[in-house]
Amino acid sequence: MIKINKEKGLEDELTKEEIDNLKDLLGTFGLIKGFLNEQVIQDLSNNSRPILKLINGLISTDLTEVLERALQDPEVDKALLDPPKIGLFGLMRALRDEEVQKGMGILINLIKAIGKSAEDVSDFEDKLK
Amino acid sequence: MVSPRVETKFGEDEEVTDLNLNKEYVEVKNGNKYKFDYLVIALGSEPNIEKLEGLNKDINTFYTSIEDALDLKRELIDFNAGKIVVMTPEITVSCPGAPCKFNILLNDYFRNIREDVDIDDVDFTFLWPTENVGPSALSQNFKKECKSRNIRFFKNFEFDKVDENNKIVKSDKKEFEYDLLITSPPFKPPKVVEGITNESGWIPVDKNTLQYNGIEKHENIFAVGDIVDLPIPKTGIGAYYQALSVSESLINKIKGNEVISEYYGEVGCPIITQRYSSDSDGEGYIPIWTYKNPPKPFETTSLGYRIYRMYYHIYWDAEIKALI
Repeated sequence: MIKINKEKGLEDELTKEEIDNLKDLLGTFGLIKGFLNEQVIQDLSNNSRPILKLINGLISTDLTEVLERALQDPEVDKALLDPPKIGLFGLMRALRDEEVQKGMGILINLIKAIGKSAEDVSDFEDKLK
Repeated sequence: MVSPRVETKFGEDEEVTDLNLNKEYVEVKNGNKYKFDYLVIALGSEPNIEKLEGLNKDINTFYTSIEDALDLKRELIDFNAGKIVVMTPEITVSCPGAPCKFNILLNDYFRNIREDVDIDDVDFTFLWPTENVGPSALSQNFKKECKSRNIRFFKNFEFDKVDENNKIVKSDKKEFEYDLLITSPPFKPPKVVEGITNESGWIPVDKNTLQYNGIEKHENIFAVGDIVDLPIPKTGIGAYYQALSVSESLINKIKGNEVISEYYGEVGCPIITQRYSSDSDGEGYIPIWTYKNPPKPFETTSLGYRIYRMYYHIYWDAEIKALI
């Protein structure tokens, strides 16, 4: 960490290379700052809004915990490298498995919630018109 | 914007008509009663134009409704020359920094945006009821900006009356002529909290836990925002930090560990001294301070202005949802 002695000043405390790096950093920073006019700031902000919405959705649910664990399941590893072929009968056999049934339960509820949310968003946008 | 996990009740019929802290229920206009285990009072504040006699005469204000703010916008678009007086007759405004910043931005609007106006043709006067404008660092910054822009700043202003026929605002000692008068009205708490407030008229809370701290104490009742009696200005940034603290304390209570997340008086005030325009790079800063750690002296910067603008654009998706 660079410690700056206020009495000595920057030039006495930093090496020439560090000062050059600092100048480089500040110059580049000026470039970025100059690029950010009102419209660019607004565009960047607006473009980040869907990401913020997703982050909000993800941090307030156990989904990420469940997905993290599911993605590390050895059976998924095997399936990724050697995908099993499952047809209609295989699917029906799989549906008799309790864990598959629970997974389906989550997906069905998610699909239902997406349908409900789509209605809510559509109603809200109609009110704005 | 509100999560579907939250059961929301909107509309006039759901206006709160009774808060019973001992029997632990909230009653609304349609007669429904909502029992609670925990309560957060966040009813805000309301403009109180009637408080000062004559204040409603010739009133133009951005504080009362979006319609009033748009009316003022139209007045300003039509304004080309003359005297503008911005008046804050009492300090208990919601966001006391707003009328101060408004002066600077108004001056900036006529100086840098309105190319059809000669800035020397517009006369700016600001009437303010106390010695300083907020903490020392903010006050110094504001007074310096007023001086450099020829905004006449009259501190310790005591409102007497508005003579709308002769277009004069009168204090006990002086008269101020105007062509356009812009007023920041006093504020009051909603009527429903009468009986649970302290002598200030606002809700008493422990300043660190934000739990109700009236004659009777209630550890399951919190209050945040404008309605709370705290030794800091009533601001959105303050309410934001209070909400973070109370929500964490509520989570802990519901989980049963009773750990209170303390609020240390975090509050702030975005300061804009120049808008971005063909003449200016924009200048801004967001000082943040706490109960015992007042804001340090600062200068507004062009990077500060950019950060403020980003904050403005992502407010509803980041700030209000407590993502940052």
